[in-house]
Amino acid sequence: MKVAIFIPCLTEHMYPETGLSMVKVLRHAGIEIEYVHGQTCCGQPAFNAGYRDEIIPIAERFIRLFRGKDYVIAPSGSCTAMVRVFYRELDIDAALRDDLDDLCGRIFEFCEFMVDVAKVDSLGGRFPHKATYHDSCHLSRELGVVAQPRKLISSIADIDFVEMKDSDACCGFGGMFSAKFGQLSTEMVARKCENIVESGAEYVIGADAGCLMNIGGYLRKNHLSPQTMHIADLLAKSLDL
Amino acid sequence: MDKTPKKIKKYVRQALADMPVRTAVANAAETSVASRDKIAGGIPYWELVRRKVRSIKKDVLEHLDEYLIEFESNCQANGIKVHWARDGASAREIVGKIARDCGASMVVKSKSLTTEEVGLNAYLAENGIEPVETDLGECIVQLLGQIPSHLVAPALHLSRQDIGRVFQDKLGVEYTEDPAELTEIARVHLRQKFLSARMGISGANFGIAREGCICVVENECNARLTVSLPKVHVAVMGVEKLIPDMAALPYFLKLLPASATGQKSSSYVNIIGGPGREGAGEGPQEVHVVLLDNGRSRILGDGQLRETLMCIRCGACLNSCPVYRQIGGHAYGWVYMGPIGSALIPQYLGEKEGRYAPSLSSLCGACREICPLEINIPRHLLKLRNKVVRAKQSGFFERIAMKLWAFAAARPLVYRFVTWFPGKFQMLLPGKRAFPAPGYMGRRAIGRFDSKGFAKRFRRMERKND
Amino acid sequence: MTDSDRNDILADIRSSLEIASDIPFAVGADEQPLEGALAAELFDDPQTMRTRFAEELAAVSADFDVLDDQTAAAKWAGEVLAVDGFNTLVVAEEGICLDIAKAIQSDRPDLEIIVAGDLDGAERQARLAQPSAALVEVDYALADIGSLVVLRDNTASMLPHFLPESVMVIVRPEQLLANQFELIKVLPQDAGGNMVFITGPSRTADVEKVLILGAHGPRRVSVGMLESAK
Repeated sequence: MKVAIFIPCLTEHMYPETGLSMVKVLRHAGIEIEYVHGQTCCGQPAFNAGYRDEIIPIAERFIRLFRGKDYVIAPSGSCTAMVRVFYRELDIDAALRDDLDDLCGRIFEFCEFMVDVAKVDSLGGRFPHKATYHDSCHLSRELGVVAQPRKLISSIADIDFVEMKDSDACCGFGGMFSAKFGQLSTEMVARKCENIVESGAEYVIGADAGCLMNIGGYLRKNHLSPQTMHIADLLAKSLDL
Repeated sequence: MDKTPKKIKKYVRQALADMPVRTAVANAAETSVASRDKIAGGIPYWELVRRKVRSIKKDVLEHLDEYLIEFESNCQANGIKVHWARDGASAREIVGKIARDCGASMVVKSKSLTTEEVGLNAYLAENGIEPVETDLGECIVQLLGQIPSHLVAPALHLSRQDIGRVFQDKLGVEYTEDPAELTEIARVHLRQKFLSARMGISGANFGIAREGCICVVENECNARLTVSLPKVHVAVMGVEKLIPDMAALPYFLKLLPASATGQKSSSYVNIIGGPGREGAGEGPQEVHVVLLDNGRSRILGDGQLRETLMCIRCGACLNSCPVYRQIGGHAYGWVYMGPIGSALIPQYLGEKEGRYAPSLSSLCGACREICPLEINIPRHLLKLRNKVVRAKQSGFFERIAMKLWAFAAARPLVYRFVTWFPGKFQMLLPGKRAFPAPGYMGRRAIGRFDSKGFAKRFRRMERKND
Repeated sequence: MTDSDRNDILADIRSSLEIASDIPFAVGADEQPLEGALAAELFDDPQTMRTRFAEELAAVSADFDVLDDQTAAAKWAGEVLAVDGFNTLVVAEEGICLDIAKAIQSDRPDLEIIVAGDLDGAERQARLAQPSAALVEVDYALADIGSLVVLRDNTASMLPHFLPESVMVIVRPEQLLANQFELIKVLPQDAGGNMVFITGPSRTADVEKVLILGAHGPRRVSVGMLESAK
């Protein structure tokens, strides 16, 4: 099985290790990967701010770039949802409509791909720590991916997995929202972090760099002990990759 | 109190500074969601009813003109007078004229967001007719000169002490903060009003086309008294509130109370199909329905956004919204608040006045998940943000920044340079400071740009592997 | 003014509806599964239905008792009256309720009986708004949510159902239906739309979400299931 990976901007520029972890984990599961050069961003930041016309070239480029790939895998529910759900809202070149429909059926978020497509339930790693999981909104509500990451986490040996209160409550990131309404967004992440701390977990696992940056930034600045970790990093670490 | 969504940013700051209100709102919202979940979870066919109701409402909206004509003629056959109001001013005049014609100097009102939308109370007061809100929460916010902070629980933001003080000040009673005593004070005060008012004004949860009647759902019995004690009853209703027939009603009544207040049924479901019988000695002698457009026909003109007209004003999206839970309803600056308010504000008030409202959301989708009609609020907020941009109402710097960014992101070489820069720039900053993100930083740290980026690191890893 | 508004609004709606709808619809929204699910909600036998009715009434803070006959009903109503110490009992019109009221009165002559339908409008409102109790009949009762259904045209006065502080309701076994869906099926076509579903006493939670019974309507609702009208 061969997959093309899509590395979203936050992963590319701030958390490249997560991208590498995903590559390692996929390969560990016997999946061949391909990195398509020239990839940039899915266009979500501008789309969410209301700039639709501006991102049409970005979307069209994305569709062409990943045309003909068996699978496209991204370590982010948000960017996957952007392509699968929100590209349809754009007035893209009619000639690319079919390609988009096709792409929508082949682009997957990492956890979703592992469990639903590659049918990997357990990788056999070990991670002797207490961990909880934060549901990213786009991943859980737009893509309906809720059970898959939990399945992957619980399959790790010696991990003490606990659910936090309101695991599906938004962390307050919301892209531009976190800057436009910075104080409000901070209050939202503060609430999230209360629940994380209350769970007693050492690690809060997530599947979206945006949420993790937001949560991690608050935890760090306020000297709270839990650490954020992307699920790809967790799996790689548990396997000693 | 003159509020406007133009000042949302200011209201949000004010709301965040008000700790007691924030706590009250958050607790109330959480409790409401919990009781809603309990009722919804206990109905095995909840999802099926949701779909059914959605299909009914979709059909109504798509044939709204036909349903309205059917509703009108059946109401008339039942002796209900039907009025049509193009906008708020026309609705105010219609209600004002009915009040003058029946010689009312005071009217009792049961909770109606639609009358808030058209500013009916202020108009009546200016014209020498005293409007008396009879829903306890509405009565409290009216005494304070405020607007409701929640679609269903208007005084959600007030503490019992606040309420005790306003009753002491405005009603001349002894201070108490006991909820039962406060409720009793309102009951005694308002019962006199019910008995002496010549006219009662209500909203309508549903207009039932085939049977020509309206339905008002409530718990306090104040709506019952409003529609049955005074000689004249006027219901103000948005044109989108129609349902086809009585047979459709039970489906809506499964969802509405559960979503609104976590009840299997509201205490009173009033179905009003005309004035009292002649010689019966009770029931209003006249029943009027004012059908309000006020922008609804225009909203219907957007194939996507017309879905927002499905809203049955249950308030569940407010309760589930992490943004609403922090800031409460007043921060939205209008009578409709929370996620659905964010979507309605720019549609009713225009992209200029409502330019901030669609942005007051992290697009988390909790609203859509809980909405009994499954209205895709995040999708609509995204489209409305786009409309704000198209109407040139987004910020100047934001516009420039977004255009530049989008230009770069469509060109890998430019993009690589633009994204290479912050990582390098960071190195010039003292310590391990991150590239500054104004608005974002403060009580949280921001991640640092990686000076190499994934692509480079990946190539290096591949070389090593070879 | 109104006429031109009417035509303008309808014209605007029609022109807006020329735009195709983009309201996505959940697939499989057909009627079959829902009809099946609703059929499964029906009760196996009258006793189960009655038990559920009693449970739902309790859940909305209404009392429920089974009354064998009118004598039992008079005893029950007398006791409910005594709880709040009311000396006035309102009934809507002649009928079972007035008979029961008279039976109570024969035991306690101080009891004042008001027949609402006999009073003219203004006096009726004024008298009933004073602290009192009422004994009323309804048209249907709904088991799954503990609701009582009153059709306006079937009673001389609906005010006794709402104005007094304590409302006692006589329900007959044959009036009990499973739910609102069943109600819609049996409603007379000419019932028009004037009716009320009552579920427990009036209530509010507008002060700090604290539930208070008795907002503007009854504080107490007691339901007696009268087995035999004798």
